[in-house]
Amino acid sequence: MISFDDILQAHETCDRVFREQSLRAESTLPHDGAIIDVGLSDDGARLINDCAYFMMLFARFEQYVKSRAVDLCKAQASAGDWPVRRVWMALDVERMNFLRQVALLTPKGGPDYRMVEEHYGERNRIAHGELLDTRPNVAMIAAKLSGMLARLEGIP
Amino acid sequence: MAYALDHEEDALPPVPTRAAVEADIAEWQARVAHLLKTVEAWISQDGGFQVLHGSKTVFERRMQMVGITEPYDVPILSIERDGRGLVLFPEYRWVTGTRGQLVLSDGDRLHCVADGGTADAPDWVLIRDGSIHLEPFTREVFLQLLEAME
Repeated sequence: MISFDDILQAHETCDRVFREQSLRAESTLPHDGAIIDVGLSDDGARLINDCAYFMMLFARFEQYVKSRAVDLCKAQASAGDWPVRRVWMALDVERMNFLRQVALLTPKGGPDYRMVEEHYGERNRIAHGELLDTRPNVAMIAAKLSGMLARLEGIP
Repeated sequence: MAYALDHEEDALPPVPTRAAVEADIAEWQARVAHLLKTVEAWISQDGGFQVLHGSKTVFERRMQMVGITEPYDVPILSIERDGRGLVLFPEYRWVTGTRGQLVLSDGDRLHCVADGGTADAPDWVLIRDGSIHLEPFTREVFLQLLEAME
């Protein structure tokens, strides 16, 4: 299975700079018994950084899904009865859109499919020049995608 | 708004409504309050810690999208001993990949506490400052952080 650790490590290295800026900008500890209003600056640069690493993460996920879908199709097209094999042989997985490839590997409409569909929509927004209106938590998304990939391990 | 999506199921996600965003904020405020109450209960009463409660205001882009102009209040929890402390405060309700996240700060490091669960079952995880891995945000983990600040 693929790993996202190198991407996450690179993101963490960059994000540390933003966190340190936040720490310098705001004291987050109470003084003299009174809690001050604390918060991190809503830094547009941090959003751009998060979106960039999310994009890299998802691109690697897409590449892996495609390779798994191609492998599945090849395996199914070379085994079993002809009525089944010919359907698989007719599929052009390389040209199939991404969500169809996902649907070959996990039940369409199921929790994993819906999670990927949601993040794919976000990936498309970034790919077409928008930033997300909410910061992506790159480590959390990586954990969710990794969880889905782990569940794919049992698929022939 | 048009997107050049490459699949036919390219329906855009529903546009959030003001009522839905307001309901989300109310639910988030309650969820945060419950978490902070849980964390406070983790602290030993005889450990010499001073617990302080506060609040902060948050304004998020999602609110802007539906015409909300006033920020909302959320609680803060601070735990102090001998001049050192941990502060747990909400960052954002809307964070892609989570159902909201908080910051746990000791003044030097900013750890992330995020809800990776569902509407019915929150699942709080900790991403330590400097780490790329998630771990369950439990009493044991929190007490470790509390001890480490000394």
